[in-house]
Amino acid sequence: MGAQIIQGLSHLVITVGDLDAAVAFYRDGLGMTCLGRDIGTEDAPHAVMAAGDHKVILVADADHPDLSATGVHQAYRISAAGRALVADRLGALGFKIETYVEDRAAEAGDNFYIFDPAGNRVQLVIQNGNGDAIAGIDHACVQHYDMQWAEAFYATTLGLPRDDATGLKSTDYFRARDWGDDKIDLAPGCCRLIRYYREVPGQNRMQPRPNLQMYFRAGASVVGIYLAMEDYAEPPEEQLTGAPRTGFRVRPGGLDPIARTLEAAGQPFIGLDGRDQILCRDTGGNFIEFTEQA
Amino acid sequence: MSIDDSNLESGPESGMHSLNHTAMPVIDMDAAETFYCDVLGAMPHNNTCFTYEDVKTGTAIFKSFIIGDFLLALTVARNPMEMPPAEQFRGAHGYRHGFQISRAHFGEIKASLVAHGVPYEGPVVHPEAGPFGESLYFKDPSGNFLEFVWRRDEDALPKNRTYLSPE
Repeated sequence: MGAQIIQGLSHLVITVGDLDAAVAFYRDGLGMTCLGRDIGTEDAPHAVMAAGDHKVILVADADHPDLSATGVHQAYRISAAGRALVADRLGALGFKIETYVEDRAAEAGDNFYIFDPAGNRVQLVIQNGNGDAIAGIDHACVQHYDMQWAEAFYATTLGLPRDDATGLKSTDYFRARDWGDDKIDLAPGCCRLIRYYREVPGQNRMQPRPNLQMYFRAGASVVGIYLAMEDYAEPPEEQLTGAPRTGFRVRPGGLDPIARTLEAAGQPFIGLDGRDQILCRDTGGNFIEFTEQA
Repeated sequence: MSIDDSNLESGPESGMHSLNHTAMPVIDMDAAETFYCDVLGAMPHNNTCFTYEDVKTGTAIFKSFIIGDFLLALTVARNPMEMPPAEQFRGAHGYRHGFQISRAHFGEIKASLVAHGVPYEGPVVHPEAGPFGESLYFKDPSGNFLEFVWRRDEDALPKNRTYLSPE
């Protein structure tokens, strides 16, 4: 199985503490269109937003975890003119725009971040083109305890080509040092402070180092995996769907090979019994959905 | 020819068999992995510090590779590495790794360097009286000096030893 079956991202399911506040942010701030409330298959109250070619489903969750200190975020493509308009609208609504130094070469210059009212980090990356509206999802990032397992799942099992990685170059360490010395501001999840196991005289203090990230291409979009910054609770093993969730779009007839691949890899899933979707989780407990619908 | 090792102070009697592994810094792990696997035929063996639990212990990131009976562990350099001049292929950038290959495969390995666009110096012919036959000198993408060498006494050396299942 490979990228020819998975054609890209379809949608993102995002949990929020206050659904009304979230809808206002994504609609009035980012300029997405609200297609309706409770028109999807989520059990909890939700709103379906149109984000260009993709959908964003905001789901109310009173226990929504605070992910603001992690690498988890969602990025949307928009024209330069459109981003300027969004900046004006968000400014008027009282949201602060963060301009972190980018650590991923593909996003150089796209240092435009905002936290939604629930603390979810949103990024806007520039895409050449006309129009002021969001054109679609550029990348979506989740966290994982084990980057080898993550790579095995996304690259080997799903067949998504690895786009790039951060934390495997000396320049990543130089940037981390600048971050540790407060010379630059990086987005949460990009770097961490650790105490190296071998004490070096004069260096017995917390040292900055880059946090490992890997990116896997799915059509025109990218899925990013950040090494976890701190302990977090994975959902119960028997739970195969929930929110937040990353939705992949597969080609017509692509659900069968997806099912066979997951079965061969020993990844449990729900689907194929009259449904037009497959629901599962990756090796890090992140919920995933495959659908033939756009 | 045969090599007289009667004056060597180390050997099987000392309990020391061979070099087991070295750890070496690189500036770009992905580029290094591609280079060592594609050009040297290295086999990925293990990754260290790719998990949250490892990171908490403060270990450094390593990727290790098996090349014959030898383990090469690569880590990301945390400090700038001085790159040797582009035209310099032979030297010791702190050290040089010499990989022994059979004389029969020397031509193939040379062709592999050419095929992968890896510049090199050689073959350099060593003195007839010594153990080495010919060498090719080259560098990895981080500027670490490397060498392929065949030995005149290769028939007397152990064959087909591997790191995972040594004789």
